[in-house]
Amino acid sequence: MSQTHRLSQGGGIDRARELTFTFNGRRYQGHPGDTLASALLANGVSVIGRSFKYHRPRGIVGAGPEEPNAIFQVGTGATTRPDQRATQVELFDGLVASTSARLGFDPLSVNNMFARMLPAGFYYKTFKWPATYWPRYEEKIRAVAGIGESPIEPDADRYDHMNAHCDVLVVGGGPAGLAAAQRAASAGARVILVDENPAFGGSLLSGRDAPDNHVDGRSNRDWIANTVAELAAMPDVRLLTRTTAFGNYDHNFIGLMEDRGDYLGQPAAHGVRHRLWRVRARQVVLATGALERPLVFGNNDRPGVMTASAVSIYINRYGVTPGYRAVVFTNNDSAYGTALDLHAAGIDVAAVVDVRRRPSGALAAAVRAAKIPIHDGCTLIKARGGRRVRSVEIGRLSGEQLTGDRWKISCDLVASSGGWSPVVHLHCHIGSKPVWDDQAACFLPGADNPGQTSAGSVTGHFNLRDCLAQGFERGDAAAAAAGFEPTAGTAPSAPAAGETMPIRPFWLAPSGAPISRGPKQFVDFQNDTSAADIALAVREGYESVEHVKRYTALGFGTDQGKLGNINGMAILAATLGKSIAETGTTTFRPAYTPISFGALAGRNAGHLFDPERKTAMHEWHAAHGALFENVGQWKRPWYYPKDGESMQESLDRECQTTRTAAGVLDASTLGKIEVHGADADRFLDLIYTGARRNMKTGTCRYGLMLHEDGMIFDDGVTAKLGDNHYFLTTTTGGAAGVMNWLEAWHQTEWPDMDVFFTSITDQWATIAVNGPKSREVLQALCNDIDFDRDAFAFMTFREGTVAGVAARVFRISFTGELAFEINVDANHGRYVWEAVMAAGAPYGITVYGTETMHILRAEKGFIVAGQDTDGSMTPMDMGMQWAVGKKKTDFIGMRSLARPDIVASGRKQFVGLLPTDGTVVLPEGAQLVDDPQAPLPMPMVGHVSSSYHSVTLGHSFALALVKDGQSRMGETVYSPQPDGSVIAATIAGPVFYDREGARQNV
Amino acid sequence: MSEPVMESPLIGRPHSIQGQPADGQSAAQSGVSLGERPFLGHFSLRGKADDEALMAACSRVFGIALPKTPNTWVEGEGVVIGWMGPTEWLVLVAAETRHEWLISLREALADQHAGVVDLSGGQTLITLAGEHARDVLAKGSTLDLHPREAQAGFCTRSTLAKSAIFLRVVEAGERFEIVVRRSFADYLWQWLVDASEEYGCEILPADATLALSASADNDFDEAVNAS
Amino acid sequence: MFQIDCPWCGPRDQQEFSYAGEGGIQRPQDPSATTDAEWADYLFMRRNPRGMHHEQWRHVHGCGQFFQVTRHTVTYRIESIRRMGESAAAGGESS
Repeated sequence: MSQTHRLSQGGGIDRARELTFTFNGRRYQGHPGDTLASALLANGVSVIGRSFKYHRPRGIVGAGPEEPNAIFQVGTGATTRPDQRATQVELFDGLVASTSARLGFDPLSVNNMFARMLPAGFYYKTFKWPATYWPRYEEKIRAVAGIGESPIEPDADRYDHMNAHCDVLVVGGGPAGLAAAQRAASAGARVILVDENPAFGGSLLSGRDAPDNHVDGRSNRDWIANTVAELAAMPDVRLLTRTTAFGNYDHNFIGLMEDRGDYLGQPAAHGVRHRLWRVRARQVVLATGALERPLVFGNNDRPGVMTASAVSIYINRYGVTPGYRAVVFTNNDSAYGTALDLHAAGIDVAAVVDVRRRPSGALAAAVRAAKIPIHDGCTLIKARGGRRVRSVEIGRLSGEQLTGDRWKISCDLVASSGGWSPVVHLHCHIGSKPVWDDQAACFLPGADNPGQTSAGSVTGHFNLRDCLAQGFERGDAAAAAAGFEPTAGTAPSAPAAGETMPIRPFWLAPSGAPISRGPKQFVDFQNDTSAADIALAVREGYESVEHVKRYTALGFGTDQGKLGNINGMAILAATLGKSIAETGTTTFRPAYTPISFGALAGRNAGHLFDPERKTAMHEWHAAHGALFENVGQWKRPWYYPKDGESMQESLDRECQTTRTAAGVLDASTLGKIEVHGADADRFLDLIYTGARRNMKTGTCRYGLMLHEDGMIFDDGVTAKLGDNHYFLTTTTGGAAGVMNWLEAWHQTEWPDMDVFFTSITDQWATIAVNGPKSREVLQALCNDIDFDRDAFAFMTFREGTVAGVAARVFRISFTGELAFEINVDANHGRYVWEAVMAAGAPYGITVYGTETMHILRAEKGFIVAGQDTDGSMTPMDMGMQWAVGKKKTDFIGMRSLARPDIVASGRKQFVGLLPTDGTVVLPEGAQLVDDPQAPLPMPMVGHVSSSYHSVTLGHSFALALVKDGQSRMGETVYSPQPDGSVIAATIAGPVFYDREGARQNV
Repeated sequence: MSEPVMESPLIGRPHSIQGQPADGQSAAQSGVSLGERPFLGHFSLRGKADDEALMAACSRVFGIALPKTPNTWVEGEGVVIGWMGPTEWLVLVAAETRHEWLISLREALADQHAGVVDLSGGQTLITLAGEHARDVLAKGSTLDLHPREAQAGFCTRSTLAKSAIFLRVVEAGERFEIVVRRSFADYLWQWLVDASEEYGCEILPADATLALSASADNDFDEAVNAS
Repeated sequence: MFQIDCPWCGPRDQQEFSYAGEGGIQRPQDPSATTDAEWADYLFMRRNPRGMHHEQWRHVHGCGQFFQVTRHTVTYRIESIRRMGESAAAGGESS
């Protein structure tokens, strides 16, 4: 098909080059500089989709972010993108676009014939029953709606985030924004200027080159080029095109999304597709412009009915005419400009229909001079035609009503203008309300947000001269507020606007019939919300604009009601008999236009999604077949399967070898904190439940930390390195929290104490050697420490040399076996680890991971804070009274241990469980009940916190928290399972192995 | 027994110590150079800035006063000292002088209300330089590192991507040092290589010396000049 | 995303900070001398106002210091920032 609607001249397109693209499988041609929408219009494609509910044929309505209909799937395979507005998709060679709607005969267009049975709230009313069917309904509704498809393949492209700081951020590169940026930059401010379009210039780009839009006496394109070049030459100015300011957040934090790849089809080599900018600006100038509202009349959704400004843009910017015989319908002056644009392009303008009587003003005069008929005091009643507007019916108005005088004009294009709505979205994102202005018949930004101001047509100034002057002034003001002295200069000047005539607010064209019986008058095209739907919502009792929005789906689409919302709110106000100001708007929330998940994720994807913290021995573990487990951000070896082993077989081997010979665990991930200072004793006595003051240098002590409410939150070992000098360990996951805890109490409660905390988690590689042969292994590696049982007693540490490396060796045990923990400078970690493995080889030493560690510790009833405790367990609940200093007068959480509900009976207590069938392993987290036959909801008496199969014991076992469990030894509890089975288990003490604790003291 | 072997936390990224350019890019087109200075001495010095005796003792041992101005670093004789917080400084020394420094520091401060904690095994230092170094940092840092805001002499703890870091501005806008905890180093290195790719990234050979202005004619400058 | 003017390091992005609860809550000198009601009040009761709120923040990924912030919970405007131990009057000048 040829470009039937391409004008022979004009527009900013490169006619010398031809681009081929595909829409719904058909090939078309366009030019560089086209959007997908302009290229489709150039090819005479008028039906580009079907509407959501009634499946009516739809065409392109707008030329920018307000477009509700031309929402396409662009691209194929891994980079396909749904929800793309054709009006903002730049054309490139080979572009593939489609809509899932049927453009020819659509069997569901039958919905249109039964439209009265599909009123507002239809889905809510119809698909309510039965409730469980909703997922099925939803699937069908979604499929029918045809919104688009997300890619299934992994996304090969790169996305990133960029943080930026500036003195002045200018949003919008139209005349006001350019003037503001130029002023702020010339004052020396760091400026960022952003615009969603491929080029700066804003509304200037969509006007004809005419003396009335010349700036400083030169053509507006010259002025744009000059100003942009001047800005680009300044070192501290960043110009971002194809970049949408999508959100305005607290403290002048603005989110931008920059397209760096879509417009090319794919990003440049090593480049990113989308970049999310996170801008912190000292000052913000919002020069976001205004969007034109259409007028609401019967069948106003017919392809060929567009906003007047869109028609002008297609003619002037793209050299495309959307039709060959136009009717312009307006309530204000600006559409007269469109009539003149059409006329200048040689397009027949059949009529200008103006709801105002006797339109005066310079533009109306020019239209009259061009011999274009003006039907004043008239309205369009409805459009006629099926897949394309063929004619319009016009009626004379008397007030808001029809006089009965009607006539018809044939046309294939209707350009309508209901006035302009400033883009107040960004202004409103941080909670400000827009203010209705009766004069300009639009919502304006309310009082400026701190550090922000607005300039240009967003403030309700719709002529070029005012916008330039205001941009200039606001740019100066923003620079000054950011601490820069404005330079001398005068505002860019444009010719004074001629005489104008005020807008006449006109929200709904009368049809002569009741609203529910007349032709469909669409307010929100994307959601098929009509004026009748709004009226129905009011009849059914809805009053709040927020409720009507949700009931009628007004403004719910991907366009977020940019085209129709204000019309809808005004119609609502009229139906309620209230003013628009009283009715108000719905809430403006980010994002202004949709942004991609890729941009949101940025570099936080795949292997960089979250840090993988690695110990010094990580590469060794990986090389020796370890499977890893995530513990917080750490990668910890989980277990080390040998060829052909099942998981349980590996665990059995690791457990058995450790209990009978020796096993090694990489314990480097334990949190470690060094504490020193003259008040370290005193401070730690307040932090731990047990006493630290009376510890001897060289000894270790287990300790619990409680929150002030008496609940255990972390545990670990404290080693006394010297006077007022300690080494603490924390749980792997608790390290940062404990560090913060210590700092919080020191800084906010006891700042006069002389104590310092330094995190040394990463400094030390920790190699835990456990098992009856661990002493021999250590002795083989170390000749300057006496490992004799009494010389190096349990719960003490020594400093010496292991494998030639300075080391601190702790004799502590988390397995119940004889055990030593070697701590060395992490740079030597792998070297010493390998030395330990070599020294242990004669004893058959095994390496073991976290799962074996858990089994071995659980056999001994050693808790894991955060697994066996959940923030609601006291030391008494855990049977750990022994860890609480009896003589202490205060420690954090102590007072709470005497609160009435802490000492009351009925609390869950820590116990062991032995499943009646020793081959069954209770699932961790399983709930426990006394009577599995009890009616639902079954009273629950506890839950399983840890559960394993033990090769040492020869059966399964578990640790659990059971109400009053410590006085229920020998009783049976039951765990009903999701599959209907019930696991019975006997309550026992939590220590299953070596109850007397002899093995660790050998 | 053989001499103990030390391993940097970037051992899993061999090109970090072999001086190879990142995939498919030559050094000539690099907008960024990345390198590691492994095995340096890293010490946390804790004490109070208003403790005059401590300050005097520090001045004696370092040959320069501890920086009291927040977010600044100073350079002494073979040592760089950065302000970390009102009671905390990071002391960096060359790898080969680490042990003597630790001994002399602990001796010099033995009678003070102060402590020195050795962090040398728990941290490493990554260098980032070149005309796009600031852009790479901006992808993961909310700091304003424009030369107007962060001049040479600026340092701070902060975050880069999802890792905590200590950042030192060696040359405003162009040369940076990032101190990162050992367990995060591998992640951060991969992140930096990925974030640099757009600009062309050269990986410098590992260098266990300290970057001092007295010896500024080192590979940093070559990297900057090459770009 | 807030920008918080750390009293040591100057303005930094919120992500360097952690929120540390309502400010000005004094731990009883002798907890064991408190009644259950007094202790529960210290432990659990917080103001949660609509309007000005005195709170604590920590520059956890910076200088590590806790400090006091007065912030409006509706507008999120930060009224004043003070180091720990600084009175409101002194803070008015430093912020």
